[in-house]
Amino acid sequence: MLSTANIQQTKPKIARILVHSNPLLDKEVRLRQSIIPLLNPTDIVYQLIGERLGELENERRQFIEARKTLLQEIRQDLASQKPREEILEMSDEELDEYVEANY
Amino acid sequence: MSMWKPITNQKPAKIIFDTNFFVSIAFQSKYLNKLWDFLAIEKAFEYNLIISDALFNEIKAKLFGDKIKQDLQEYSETRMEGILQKIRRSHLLINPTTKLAPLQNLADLEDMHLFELAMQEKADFLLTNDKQVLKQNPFGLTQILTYKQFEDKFLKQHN
Repeated sequence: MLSTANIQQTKPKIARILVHSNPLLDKEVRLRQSIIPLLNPTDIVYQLIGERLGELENERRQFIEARKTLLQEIRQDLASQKPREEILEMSDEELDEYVEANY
Repeated sequence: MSMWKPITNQKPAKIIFDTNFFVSIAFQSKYLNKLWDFLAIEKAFEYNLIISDALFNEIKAKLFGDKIKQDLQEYSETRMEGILQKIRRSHLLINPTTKLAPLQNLADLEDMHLFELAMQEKADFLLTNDKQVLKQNPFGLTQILTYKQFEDKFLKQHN
C-alpha cells in the first residue's frame, strides 16, 4: 500500500512522464505556466487530468440522462400490452411461479 | 480555480437478468417492471445490466414463441420488439470468449451461457427464479438470487 508521503514523492515523476509522452499536455502546461509563472508544473498536470476526468464524468452523465429519456418513452409504449385475464389477476408470486413452470 | 470533480471509486454493480424476467415483463409484472426501471433509469450510475448474444437470442425466441401468443390478449410483435429495444438500450452487450466445463447438478446445460457471462464479467448478481440455477449460488464472485430476494435486499431500502 502506498503511503500519502510516497504518493507525494511519486506525483512529480508521473507528471514528468505524462508531459514527455504527450506533446499536447506539454504545450498546455507551458501555456499555463507562462500565464501564471508561480504555478508548479506537477500541479498543472494534475489539475488538467482532473478537468478531463470531470469532462468525461459529465459526458457519461449526459449519456445516461439521454438513455433514461429513451427508456421512459419505451416504457409508456409497453404499458398497453395485457396478458389474458387469469394471468392479469395473479399476484407477483403466482406470476413468477407460472412463468417458471411454463417457459 | 480547479475544476476537479470527485468521481466515485465504487464501480457499478453488474447484474444479469435471466430470460424469464422478460417474459414476466411481457405479462406486465409490476414489481419486475419497477425493478428494471429502478436499475436502468433511477440507479443507472450504480448498476450495469449486462447481456450476451446467447441470452438475448434466448429472450427473443421466447418473446416471439407460440406459447406467449396464447397468454397475451392481443399479441403484438411491435410490442415484443419494444421490449427488445428496451433491453438493447438498458444493457451492455458482452460476449464471453471462454467456454466453461458443464457444471455439476445443472440439469439444463443450455443455461451454461449465463454462467459463462457471469464468470467472464465477474458479475455481482445473477437474478433468476430458476431453481436449478439458484442451486449454484454462490458462483465465483456472483450471488445468484431470486428477483424477490434482490428486491428485498437492495430495492426496498431505497423506498
